[in-house]
Amino acid sequence: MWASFWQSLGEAFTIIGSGNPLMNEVVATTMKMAVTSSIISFLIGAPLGLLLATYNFKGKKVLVIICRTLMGLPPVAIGILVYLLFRGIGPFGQLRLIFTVTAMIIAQVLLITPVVVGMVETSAESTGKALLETRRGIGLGSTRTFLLMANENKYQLMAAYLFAFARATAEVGAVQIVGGNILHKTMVMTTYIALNYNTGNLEFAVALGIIIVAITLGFNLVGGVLQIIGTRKKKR
Amino acid sequence: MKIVAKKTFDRKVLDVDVQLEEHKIYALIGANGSGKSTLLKVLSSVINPDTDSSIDIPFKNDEVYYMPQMPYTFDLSVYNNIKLGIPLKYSTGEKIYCKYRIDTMLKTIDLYQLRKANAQTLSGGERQKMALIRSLVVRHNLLLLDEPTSAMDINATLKAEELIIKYKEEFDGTIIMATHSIKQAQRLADVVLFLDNGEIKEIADAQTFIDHPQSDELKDFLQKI
Repeated sequence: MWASFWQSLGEAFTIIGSGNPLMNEVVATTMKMAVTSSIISFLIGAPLGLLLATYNFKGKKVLVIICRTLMGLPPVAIGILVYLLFRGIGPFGQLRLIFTVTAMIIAQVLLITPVVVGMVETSAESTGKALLETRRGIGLGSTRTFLLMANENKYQLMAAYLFAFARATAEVGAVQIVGGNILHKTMVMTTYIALNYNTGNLEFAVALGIIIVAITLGFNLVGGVLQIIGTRKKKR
Repeated sequence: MKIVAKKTFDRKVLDVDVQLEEHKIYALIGANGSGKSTLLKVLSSVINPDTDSSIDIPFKNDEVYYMPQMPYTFDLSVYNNIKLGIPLKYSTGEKIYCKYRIDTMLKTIDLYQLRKANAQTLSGGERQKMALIRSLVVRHNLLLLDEPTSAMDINATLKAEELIIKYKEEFDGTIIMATHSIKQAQRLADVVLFLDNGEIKEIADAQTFIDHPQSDELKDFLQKI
């Protein structure tokens, strides 16, 4: 029983070592999508999270609730939403983005941004409260306060980005729907794994699974370590 | 300055009606929970007073500086933490003078050798010294200090008081500081206000407080310290 397991793993590592061109192409498409969408999500989500953590304003609680609700949305729901918006007869159909990497990036941004906002807001909230008296006492302006908040939470921000990247790499539901898993165009690691599994090409699926696990594990480990460093620093 | 300040949380924590003069040092004394910090927070707009309050201070918000009891220490060097107290609008000349003042105060209070250290590595007393210098580096029309030396030893406290006196001599702003020490109030303040249960029970100079306490609450407070 275990022999077949080790055999599949062995063959998978052989495929990884062989530098299969299609696999390289799929990994490259995945990286392009994950890096772009995680950067965009971070650039939108991190400032929003910091603002929520720093300032009290009317409607803040509503925003936090909306954000937390969006964090829990299933990827396929976002995928269907983006599909409805960008399909040929949809409101943005004339942009011809459906079944492109751009559409996948849009879906990823919708999925990941609330996660970034939530992570940053939660981790920076204690700093925001601790900072309040000193900030008002000194009379720090909004820009200075914002920059100081970013500096105070730099480890948490780095962790939020890394988690965003890992999430973008590992996502399958939404990108399958809006990307269509088209060979040489929108095929990414997760959708390629699903395809290979469905067609019985298990070794390729396992090889890509190993790569994806290694990437997400590596990023999550770095993110986790950074968050621990940040928390320890705050406790000092 | 006419201050009618009230603040209610689940109970009334502040109910003050007092007239203060400018260019003086006022000390707020009183036990824990007497309303000293709440009054300073209300005056600095850190917390909003009850709607029936009326605070008539002839200064804008940015002319009032508040040093909290537990000042936040930024993840920056000691020097850069202090520099946050310098307004961005200051001219180069003014900033150079501020730098000179910072260096002088750092040396006075024995913090100069730590000026490049990360402020989050400092002890509680050192952090308080740093926050005090930050509050004294430029002139404020109204300076509010909430127990600014509570974490310092006696030597550091005396040096910190020296800085406060020099600041007053140079800038002649109004200072209101909370303290638990009647002796500190005696050394620094022109006028002492005794707070109990959120109300000002007595106003006098520190010596009169010590020699002729009027209210039972003040007598009780003085006996316990």
